[in-house]
Amino acid sequence: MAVDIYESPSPKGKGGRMPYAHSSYSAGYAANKDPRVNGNVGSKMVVDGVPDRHELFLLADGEKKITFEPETRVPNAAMFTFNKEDHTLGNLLRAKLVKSPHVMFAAYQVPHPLFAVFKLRVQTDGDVSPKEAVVQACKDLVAELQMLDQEFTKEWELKKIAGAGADM
Amino acid sequence: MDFNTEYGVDGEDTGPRVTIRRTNETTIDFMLSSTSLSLANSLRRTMLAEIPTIAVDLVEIEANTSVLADEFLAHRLGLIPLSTRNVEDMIYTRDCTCEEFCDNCAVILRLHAANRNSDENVKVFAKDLFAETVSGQPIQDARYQRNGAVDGLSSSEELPPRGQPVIMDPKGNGSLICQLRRGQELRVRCIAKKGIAKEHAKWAPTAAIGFEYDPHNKLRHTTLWYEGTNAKEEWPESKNKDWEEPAPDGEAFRYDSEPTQFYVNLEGTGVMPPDQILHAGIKTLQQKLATVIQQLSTTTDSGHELNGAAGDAGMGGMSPPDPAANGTAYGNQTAYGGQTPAYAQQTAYGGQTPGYGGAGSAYGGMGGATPYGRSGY
Ligand SMILES: [Zn+2]
Repeated sequence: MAVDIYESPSPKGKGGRMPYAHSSYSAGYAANKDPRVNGNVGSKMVVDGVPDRHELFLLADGEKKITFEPETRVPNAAMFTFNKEDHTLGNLLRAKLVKSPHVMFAAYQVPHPLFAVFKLRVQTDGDVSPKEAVVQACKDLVAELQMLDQEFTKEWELKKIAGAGADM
Repeated sequence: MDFNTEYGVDGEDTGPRVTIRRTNETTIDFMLSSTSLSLANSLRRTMLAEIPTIAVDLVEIEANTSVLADEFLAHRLGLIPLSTRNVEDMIYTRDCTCEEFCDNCAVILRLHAANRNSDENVKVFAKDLFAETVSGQPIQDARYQRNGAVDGLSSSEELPPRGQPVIMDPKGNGSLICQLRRGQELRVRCIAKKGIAKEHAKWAPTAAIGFEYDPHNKLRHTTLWYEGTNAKEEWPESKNKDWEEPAPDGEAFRYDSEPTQFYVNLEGTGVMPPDQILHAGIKTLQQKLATVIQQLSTTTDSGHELNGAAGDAGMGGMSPPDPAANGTAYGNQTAYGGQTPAYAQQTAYGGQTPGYGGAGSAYGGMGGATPYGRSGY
């Protein structure tokens, strides 16, 4: 049908919409399906198969930040899946968890570098559940970061008073 | 340096330590000690990629007869440092209720330059960008110039208003955008939005973050290549070597020791004062962790979701009295620390941050209803 040519020239789904105004440029944005993210971005390069970069940190509709399942073969063990997170959180949690005397095993992996997901496996001694161990690790890290923030503020104020800053 | 010192376990209030070594208006060189490599590194990664800032994201080209192609120009405009003052009050366009963009989620910068009749090229600078509202009303003339922090320590009060170009060069020009020959003209409207560097590097508040630990390679995390007989003779020594003792001769290698001291050179782009970058990095990382706490608090130990906030009212009568929001079975004599968690006090994410403090959040509000209140552990 000839009408098709005029109706929807773009492939369904991924990007490729006709520009609203051909003179409007994205200053560097990957293709995007959600017009609210991009506004009326006009001409832009649409490279097929390249995921939108916000998919690295924005949860998709209905996606949960964390899901986890108890391990069936091993007692007090669970596999957590963190969505839209990377080594920043994965390694931080892993490192904290292995310091806990209740944690017998903690490790994480990023199954594939193109997907913003990591898996964390935790096994405890049974005094706490794996979930509690992760929650506690997070709480301790929040507290530690808070101490760091205060310590830095203190040092910064001291430096300011001393006025000895401009020596760079 | 005693690598056996396990932070937080010795009962004392040993939090992370900071020693500021050198600063100027964009940079801080500091030493971080009594923390773990993982925390220092996660903080570094967060500061590089996840602090919200503002950058030009959309460029409407009304006229461009310069030699630069439209998209080339758009890219250059995107990279111009814009003030992040009060970014926290700005919303992401994707979260905004507006159609396309509005004054709550965008800053409009207009640029109009032309070379009418000069044989000399007209240079177009970041200072030529003028802020206006979405409807086109000019925003107070904020031709602002950073007058160079007096003592080398800058503060966010010295930044121009939100979204305006940050100009730090002595001439007050800002970045060079393009040059116009006689008869060439440039008329563009830039829409600057809030974003993070994970999406595009133009949103990075940092130019670079130097990060080093163990300058004497006592931990042997590095294998130094050498061609002669001794690696030490062939490698320059680290600038940080004077801040740590080298391993004494003949001492046995401690394979289980861990780094606790980190040398960080935090170099900002000027978009945000360097101390603010660190604070923002800490806050962003705390929010990340808080999201995890909140999420897991609404999940049972077997991985099933609790019935959301309904658990609040529904289970209220039946659940044990809230043993203080943070005094769970697990509470204060925890394995790791001993310090009472600092949040719930005046922390960065008190009430204003999403995901943690939010109305009747799972954390705190629902404390008693959480599965670990009474479970068999
Ligand atoms: Zn808006």
